[in-house]
Formats: sequence, structure tokens, C-alpha cells
Amino acid sequence: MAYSDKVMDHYSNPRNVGSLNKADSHVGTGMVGAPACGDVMKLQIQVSDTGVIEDAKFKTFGCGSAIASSSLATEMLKGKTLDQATEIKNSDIAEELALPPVKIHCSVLAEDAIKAAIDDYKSKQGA
Amino acid sequence: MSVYLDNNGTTPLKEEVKEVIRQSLDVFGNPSSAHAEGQKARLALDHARRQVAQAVNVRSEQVVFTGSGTESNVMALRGFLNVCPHKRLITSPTEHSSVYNTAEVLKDEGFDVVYLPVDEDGVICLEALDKELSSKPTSLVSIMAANNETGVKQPIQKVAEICKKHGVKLHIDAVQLLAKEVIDFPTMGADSIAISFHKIGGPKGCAALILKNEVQMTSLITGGGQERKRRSGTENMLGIIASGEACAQVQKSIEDMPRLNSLREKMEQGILNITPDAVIVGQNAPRMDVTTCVMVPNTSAEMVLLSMDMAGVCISQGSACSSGRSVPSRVLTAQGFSEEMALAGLRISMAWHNTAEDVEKFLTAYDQTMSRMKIKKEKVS
Amino acid sequence: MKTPVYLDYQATTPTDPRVVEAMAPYWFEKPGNPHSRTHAFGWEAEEAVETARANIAKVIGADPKEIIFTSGATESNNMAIKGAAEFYGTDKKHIITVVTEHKCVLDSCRHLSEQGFDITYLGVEEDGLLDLQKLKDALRDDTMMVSVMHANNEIGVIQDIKAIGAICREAGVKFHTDAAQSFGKIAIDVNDMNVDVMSISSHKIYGPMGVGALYVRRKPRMRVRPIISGGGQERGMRSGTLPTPLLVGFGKAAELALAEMAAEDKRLTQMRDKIIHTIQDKIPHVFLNGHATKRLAGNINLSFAYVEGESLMMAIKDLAVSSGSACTSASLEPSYVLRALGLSDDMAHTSIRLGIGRFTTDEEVDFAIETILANVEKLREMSPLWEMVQEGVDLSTVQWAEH
Repeated sequence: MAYSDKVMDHYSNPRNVGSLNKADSHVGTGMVGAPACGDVMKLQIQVSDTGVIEDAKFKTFGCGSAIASSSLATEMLKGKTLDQATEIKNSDIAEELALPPVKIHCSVLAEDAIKAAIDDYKSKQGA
Repeated sequence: MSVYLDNNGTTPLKEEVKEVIRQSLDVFGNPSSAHAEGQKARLALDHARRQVAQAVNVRSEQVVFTGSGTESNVMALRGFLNVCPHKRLITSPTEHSSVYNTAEVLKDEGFDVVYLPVDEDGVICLEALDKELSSKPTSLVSIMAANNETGVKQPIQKVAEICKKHGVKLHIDAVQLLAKEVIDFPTMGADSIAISFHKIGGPKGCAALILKNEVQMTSLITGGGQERKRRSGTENMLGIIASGEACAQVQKSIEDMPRLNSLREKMEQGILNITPDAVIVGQNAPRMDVTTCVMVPNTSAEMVLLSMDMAGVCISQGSACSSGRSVPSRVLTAQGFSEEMALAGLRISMAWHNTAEDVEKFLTAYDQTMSRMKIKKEKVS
Repeated sequence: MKTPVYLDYQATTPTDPRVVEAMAPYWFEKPGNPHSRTHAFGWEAEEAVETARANIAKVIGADPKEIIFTSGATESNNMAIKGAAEFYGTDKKHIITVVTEHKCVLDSCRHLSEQGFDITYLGVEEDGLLDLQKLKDALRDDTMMVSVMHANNEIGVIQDIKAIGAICREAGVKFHTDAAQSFGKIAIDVNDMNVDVMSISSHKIYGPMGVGALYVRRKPRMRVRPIISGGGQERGMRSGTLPTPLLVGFGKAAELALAEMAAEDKRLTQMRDKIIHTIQDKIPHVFLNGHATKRLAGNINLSFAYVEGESLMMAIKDLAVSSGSACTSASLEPSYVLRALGLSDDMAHTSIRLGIGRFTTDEEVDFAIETILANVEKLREMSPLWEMVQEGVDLSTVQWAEH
């Protein structure tokens, strides 16, 4: 499988690997995918009181594109407001990483993970 | 060094091809493997496929690599017949054994096989083709572009027009034509053609079937799904790489044809001088520039061959596939020659490596052979 | 040491330099069609081909006349199954095979089932071995053939061919075995094993690609209708001009394989076990797929739980390994062979095959072990599944959002 340089970069030097305290009320956690499908993505955001994403972390079980997609997603999330974060589309990720057609689902998964993390945060806030 | 004049049987490797083989002896990856060694092989495979595609003016995806010209022909016959409800094949009695013997097997299996009549040069009767196609629904027509034993060419352009008129699929065995004339597959009007690389200075064990885009047919060898699912089996990498190079030389070979044609003219004149009652088959028919089929009455081709071989000249009788057995050539008897005459049929076929000196040596050996066999009329002093 | 280190010997093997040397004269000096018996070039080629045939026959205790050259094991398997069905299939329309067979065997069977044959696909045990009782139970009066591979290409498991051969002979059923992976690596005696027809490959034993063979028993006679008809080469069983240099190379490869079989088996078994044991000792949740000892000396197939196979492949790009079989590794489907062992999809996704062989060095083995250990640990650190397992979560109880 020929990967773009950007995928290789994110895969070899993934940004923001790790975990945030999921019990923290400022942290939203999104876990999407299934082991049987070959991809599981856990994406976490830490949101400030003003609604800005201060930190983002991920752990991903999946192919190189899935790891790169989640790594890029955490980079994109940092500094964004929740509303801006909701605007992130899978196509933004796919284009940035030049994903081949068979790997587009990885970017879809990353978008789902972002949405799930935001939803989790919002539900914690009782909004 | 012997003089090699059995190039319709097989050719030696071209020097350019040998060089590519030397450089590629360490290419071993399996092109289906995702790792670097596999991808290196994949690139080499793609490159060779483009070279082959260019030689017949098609796109890469129209090239299916096979293990032999025989396999290509059998694959086309069975592949097209299997997907067509009318179990009917039209071919000719002078086809290469891979088509002819497969047609015979198909007949045993219940297919309706029609052999078109041929004239004394072996050229098929086009009216008969038209009539046969009008009479019953037919699955496939399979005709060779040029005969391996006589070099006589079939009117394939006209055959294609007739097949198109009747909407019937056409396979052309172009094994002998490749590198002797320009093959422009898109304008040929065929659904498939078979080509083989050991006839053009490439290696044995590698050939191809060229297909029209999106054509419907079954596969002969199934499994891992290589060759776009048309022909399974790990690719013959060295053979394919070498074949690509052989195809890159096709234009050069074609440009060499006038030279070989004049050599052949000299040779045939020499044969007729030594044995005036020799019959050169298809002399007045459209013929490839490199092939001579000659019958000398009251001789046995087998004996002539042995004598020539001892003099260091390699020629053949009938087709290489059936030599070693003293059966009269099916091709020659189909053209109306007697069994006795057919048993005398010799084939002399040239290629790029042959020179005027080779022709001289051939004629000297031929002269000696015929004198020894008391065929040559000694001049009365 | 050159990287990437080639560890994919079940996909294909590098051509042995001695094989290259043996082929060279037939590439560069000696032209000739081995079927042209009427001139000297042809004779020389024919003699070389017959020497090769004898060398191949010797490896399996066969008569040279029983060896038919083909373009490779895929063609041989097609010929053995479709060709036998053509011959015997009028009254016997049942074939027994195994779900872990090579794709070309399964595909040939599928082809026959479309033509009215009844195919029994036997499952395998967790270790990849066939339960012989299941084979016996599957035999019927109209069973024409049993086709069971000798050694599996993905998991290296070696089936008890001798026992299967005995069962088939007793039942009067023809026995085909795909020996593409075992020929030249494990001792084979077609008479002792009662094999009727056997598929053989050249490029898996350090010979050239594009050539293979089919062993076809003469006594009691095994009949196979040719799938490539024509000029009648190979005793009428397989038409087409033979590629002399490739056959000479194949013959040389067979000769070398036989001469070096015992020593090579010993060396590779030690290497194999070192790789498996070192990795399993150093990191938990690593599973060997296929029987631990009844397997090819050169085959290692490991599942690394909580690590995804493709990303592992990327991480260990200095090692040329495969996930699944070479034919399918470009696809995203988990290997059907691993699933047949009862592996769940997620475990099947985390497996890689390491194939070692004649040119694998101790240095390469050590490098492979280190590379795998380091990267599995790194990827597990990145894996949410590993994290959950560390936290004591039972993954089987988790409700996954399937996509």
C-alpha cells in the first residue's frame, strides 16, 4: 500500500498520543469503531470554561491511515471552539492526508470520533 | 556454429533480451506482496506489460500474460465458448495444433466444429465463412494470422469484417505474425489475439492473450486472481520482464523484413536451381517474409533434416510440435497435397540473426544433401 | 545486513545463485526448442529438460515419466482437480477438500460445483490440522477425489499426508495433494504416502518463477484430462513449448533442495523456535497460529492481540513480511485460513506471517525479533484496546459501535 508522505509522517511521529482523565468533567471521550472491523479510535478533548479545546489526545487501534487520521484530528482540534470543531469534515482529513479511496473510511471514523467526543463532553455538561 | 533456420519453431534470445535477463536475475519478489521486494516486482511487471501493450497498440489492462501461445489459444477458445449458448466454433484445418487439436477435443465434447475449406495455398474461403455464419448461430471464429508451417497469411481483415457483420466473436492466433508485421489490435477487429514471445527473440514459457476491453470470457487457470482475475498463478517474472524487452524490439524487427525477404528470394531461387521440381508452398499467396515451405518430390523430410543437421544447418519439417513423428503434415494435406508430398515438406524460417552467409551455407548443405540422395540431377557432360 | 530483511519465503524465494548459474548457459548460450528432435539444438535442450525431470522425480520418489511440467503450482492444482473431474466425473461427482486450501484449489472446486459436482469442505481443528475421522466420515460411494494440501502457505501446518493417503487408497478414492509449500522441504515419498497426483512449485524452492510440475501416478494409473490441449507435449497431458532455462533451473533447485533438506530443516527449525519463543517470552498476548511443531520449519504466523496487522506491517517496514497470503494481502479482508482456525476477525487482523529460508541469517533473525518487540510495544501504547485490557476491561463485554 502506497501511503502519502503526510500519512507516513503522522504514522511515524504521531501527535498527541495518550489519554486524558475521562472522569474529568472538562474531558469529552469518543470511542468509535470495533476490533472486528480492524479499527478502534479513542479521541479525547479537554475543553476550557470558555468552550475552547485546550488539549486533545488519541489512542487508535487500526491501520496507518487510521492512526494518521486520528493524529491529524487531534492537531486540528486544538485551539478550536466546540462549534468550530463540529465543522471538521472527514473530507478535510482525507484531503490533507491524501488518503487513497480504500482508506477514506479512516477519515470518516476520525470525524465520528470528534463528534462522539464533543457529544460526550456536552452530555457531561448537561447541555 | 550451426546455421539456425528454424525460427518459426523458436528463436534464440535477442542480445538486448539477454542483457535484460542478466540484469534481472535477482528480481524475485512476488508482485502480490505488499512489501518493497513485492512492489519492486510489481513495477517491473507493470513496465513489461506496457512494453507488450505498445507492441500491439493496446492499453496495459488488455494484456493477459500466460505460459505459452498454446495456453493463450486454448484460453480464448474455451473462454469464449463457455460464455456463449450456441456451442459452435468455426476455424480452419491449417490452424496451429493448439487450436486444431483443441477444436477436435471440443468436437468430442459435443461442440459443433466447422473447418472452413482452404485453397491449395491454405487460404480460407471467405464465402464459406460468410455462408456458415449465416446458416447457424455461432459462438466463435478462430483463424490464424499467418501459418507456422508455410508462412501463408489469412485475410484476417476481411474475416473480421464478416464476423462483425454477423456479430460473432473472433479470435486470431497471431503468434507467427508478431514482429513480422505491424499489429494494430484496435483496427484488426478481433476480440482477442494470441501472441508468444519465444518466436520474437524473447523467452519460452511466456506468452499473452490480448483482449478487447471488458470482454466476457471464462478463465482457464483460476485461483489467486492474478492478471485481473483472468489468469491465476504467480507471475513468471523473469520471463515477463524479458518478454517486455523482446516487445520493445518489435519495430526494429519489422524494419528488418525487406532484408530477410531478399535473403529468402535468393534462397528459394537457389533451391529451385538445385532441385527444379521442388514445390514452394504458397509462393504466389500472401506470405510472411521469413518462411519457406518446400516439398521435393521423392524425398523424406526426415532424412533431409538429418543430413542438413549433420552439415550444421537446422531446419524443420512440419511444425516443431509434431516433429519426431513421421506423420505427414496436417497443414499440407489439408491444402490438397498427397501424403507422400506432405512427408517431404521442409520448413526454413529466418529471423533477425540470419545473414547472407547463412543462406550460402544452407544452399551448400542442401546441394550436398540432394546430391547424396541422388535427387539432384547431375549435369551430363 | 541489507534492509528490508526478506521474511516472506512462503510467498516466493530468492533464486539460489547456483540455480542462476545452472540456468545461465540455457539463457545465454544454448537456444533450442526441446520438442524439435530433428536438430542438435533441440537434442541438447531435450536432454537438459529430462535431467531436470529426473531431479524433480527423485525428491518425491517418483519415476521421471510421472512428472508433467506446468507453468506453476496454480496450473498444476487446476489441472489435477479439473482434469481429474473431467476424466472420472461422469459417475463420481463428490470431492472432499479442506477450507484452508490454497485459493486455486478452492476455486477449482467452486468451478466444479457449478458444473454439478458436490464438494465437501472439511473444517480444521484449532491447530490447523485435519481430523482424520472427519475425513473418513465424509467419504461416500461417489467420492471421486480427496484434495488436501501438504503444508499450508499461511500457517505452515503440515497435514498427515501418509495417513490421508492410506485412507483414500483403502476407500478407492483418488488423492491429490498440493505440495507447493512442502516439496523440497519435507521428505516426501509418493509411494509410501499413496499420493495419486501432486502439485509442485519451483519458485518456492529457490528456483525460477513461471514453472512448476504435476506428479501423476502411473501405477495404479491416475488419469487427468489436459486443460491445455494442443501439440501434445508432456505425453499429451500439457501442450505448449517448454521453457528450457526455467526447467533447468527448477531441476537444479530440486537437486539442491534434496541434498540440503535435512540440514536446512534443522537450521530453520531452530531459528523459527527462537523467534516464536523469544517474542512470546518478552511480550504477553502473542499467539502462534497453527500447530507448534507440525509445521514448516520456515513458517511463523503470530497474532499480536490489540495491535492492528496493517499498522504493524507499516511499523516493521524493515522486515518484508506478509499479513494473510500473498495473493490476498492487498485486500482488507482477514485471512480465511486464520478464520478457519476459529480466530475472531480482530485476532485475524493482528496477525503476520514471517517466512524464513535458505538465506536468512542469525543476524537477520535477531533484528527481526528486536524490530517486532519494539514496534508491538509502541503500537500497544497507542492502542485503546490495550489500555482497556490493562484497566481490566473484558473486551468481549464491550458494546462496539460497528461501522
